[in-house]
Amino acid sequence: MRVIFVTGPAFSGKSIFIGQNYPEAKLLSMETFVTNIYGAESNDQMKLIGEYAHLYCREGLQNMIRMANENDIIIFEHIMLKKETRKFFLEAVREVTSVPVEIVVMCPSEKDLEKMFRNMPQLLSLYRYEEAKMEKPDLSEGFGSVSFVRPLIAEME
Amino acid sequence: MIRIAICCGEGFSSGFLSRHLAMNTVRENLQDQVSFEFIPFYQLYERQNEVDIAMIMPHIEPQVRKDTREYSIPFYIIPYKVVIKPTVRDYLDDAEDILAMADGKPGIYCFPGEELITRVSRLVSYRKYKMQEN
Repeated sequence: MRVIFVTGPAFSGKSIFIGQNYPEAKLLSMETFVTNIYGAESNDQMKLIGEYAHLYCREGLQNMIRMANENDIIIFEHIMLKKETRKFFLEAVREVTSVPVEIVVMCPSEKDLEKMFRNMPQLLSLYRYEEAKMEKPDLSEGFGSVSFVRPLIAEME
Repeated sequence: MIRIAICCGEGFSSGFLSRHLAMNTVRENLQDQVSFEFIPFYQLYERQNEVDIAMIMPHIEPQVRKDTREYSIPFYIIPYKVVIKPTVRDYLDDAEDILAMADGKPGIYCFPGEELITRVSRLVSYRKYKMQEN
């Protein structure tokens, strides 16, 4: 079994990377757990839904690992900008398996960004905002490997 | 084009609002009318010349009110009951109206009757809300 975290700012190419490289993997995405945020009736409730989403996602990840076969690849897709967030989910994995967790960080180049966000400066602005917040992971956090990858833009086109 | 700084904290809600606005600016086809810069409040003083107005997430209002530095742009504390429910058009309408009210002067502005944002329940722009009332 392999467990891979695919991380990076919004629109950095995570879904594309996963689809191109691990089409048969079992995929868990944080996005699944946050869609009900639109049902919030106040800003406080919005904040609570976000917190619960992380807890439900954590449990979902653990259950997926428990049910996996030895040949399965489990992909967890989440922006994970902060070390604290990575620690939260890494510890969740550690509770159910000792398999080394690989982390992939999407790092489009400036040329990639130009192609990806052509005519969409607003999305580029969002990408830059999240990129600036990102604390880049390293092996000292407990990952088995850390990879920085570019999305395959030619194939996106 | 109106340039709006969305001043966020570092939490989940801020991230969600920024994604909501970025994606919906494209969906609502308003890219020629508005641009959003997502700027943490502690960076706003240095970056205020990049924008025309700062719309501030409500949970950082106390920080904003404690800041005694002189800014050159108006501030608007986002009052919507759920910040991700209004459309980008609503955000733009409110920014336009606050800019008109400010008339080039800095300061914290709000619409009449919305001095206490905890009492604001609208999920649309102020002008739309007033039209619906009438």
